[in-house]
Amino acid sequence: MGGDERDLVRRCLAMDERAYRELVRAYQGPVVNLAWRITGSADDAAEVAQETFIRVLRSLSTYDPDRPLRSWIFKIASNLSLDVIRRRKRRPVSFEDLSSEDGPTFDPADPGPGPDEGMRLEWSDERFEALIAELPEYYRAIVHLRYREEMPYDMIAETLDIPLGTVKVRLHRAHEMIRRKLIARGTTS
Amino acid sequence: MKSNLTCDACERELVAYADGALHAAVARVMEQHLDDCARCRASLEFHRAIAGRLATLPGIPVPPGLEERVLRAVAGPRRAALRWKRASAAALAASFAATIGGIAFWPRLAALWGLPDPASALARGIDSGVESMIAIPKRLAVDVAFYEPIVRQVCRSLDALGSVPHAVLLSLRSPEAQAAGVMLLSLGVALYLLLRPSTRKEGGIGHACLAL
Repeated sequence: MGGDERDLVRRCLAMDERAYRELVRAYQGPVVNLAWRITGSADDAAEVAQETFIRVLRSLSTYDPDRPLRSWIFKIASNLSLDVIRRRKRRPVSFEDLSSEDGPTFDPADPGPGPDEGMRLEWSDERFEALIAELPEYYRAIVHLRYREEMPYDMIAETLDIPLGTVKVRLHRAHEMIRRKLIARGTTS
Repeated sequence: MKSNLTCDACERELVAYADGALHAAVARVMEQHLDDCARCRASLEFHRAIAGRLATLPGIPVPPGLEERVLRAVAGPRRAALRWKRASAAALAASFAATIGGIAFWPRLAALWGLPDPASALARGIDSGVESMIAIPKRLAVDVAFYEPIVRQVCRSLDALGSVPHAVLLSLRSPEAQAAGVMLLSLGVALYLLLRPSTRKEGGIGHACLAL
């Protein structure tokens, strides 16, 4: 954790209201978007973000300063987002507990991506967004943390509390799912 | 140099390779395979394009008032507690200042408003307070001095009466006492018969005693 973050945490622990504001302003955008990416709902994302910051500021005394602050905040946000999905589905959901890594596997007969699929990547944001929304929530989270937040793999593993190898496998599978969905859209449209 | 890496193995590592997350040695082997395999190269480009597309997807704006809601929930109770502490401290300081000020300036204000001299009023107040405080124990002492001997005598009498039946029983155990008792009882009966008032005629000792 950088010196600025250490100072920010120290001031928050001293109940400095300006430090509270600084922390919320620094992370509100990323937290809202992570929650939105996982839950798929702007209302749920707003609720999750609010609860995340309340928990962060109330439990800052338990925070380990040797860990990145961003990772700790995202971990709280992603767990709260999963709680929302759990309430919706009425079944337990976790990033770790995947009974089957049900992503697509490599098919040697597959000729690989062609020019059509490349063109479909130029789809409008809305169309591409709809395609991403079809991914399971744990893939959406991992894709968001990697490409939107530009987190390294080890930090993603720490944030989602999963092994490093699992991060690598799931990112690969997320890519494969997107590719197959692009092919499917091309053949059905 | 041609690597031994298969397309299957290469494909599994392509995303991590594109993300720069592979160990340098593994990355070198991948590069060798990619140099020779157009299909894997195309796949790599495609993964890079997906990564680029995912990175540029627009997000949603921060909901308005989020910061304020969080601050209200977290700092609100603390702020209220702080405000209450400050108000209490201010009230305490004000009452202290008013007391000191009152003591210091009351004689002047009393003179100004034509009120009795605060010093003499205070002395009178203290005097009457002390008087009333003394009066109560004084009254109690008088009452105790009057009733205490009477109560003590009554208690002694009750003690003595309590021992009479026991003494009587003890005395009746000896034959002399039993004989004296029988004699006293006979004497009592005789006296009663002798002195009882007659129902048929007036006169006699009984009537004389009753007349007295």
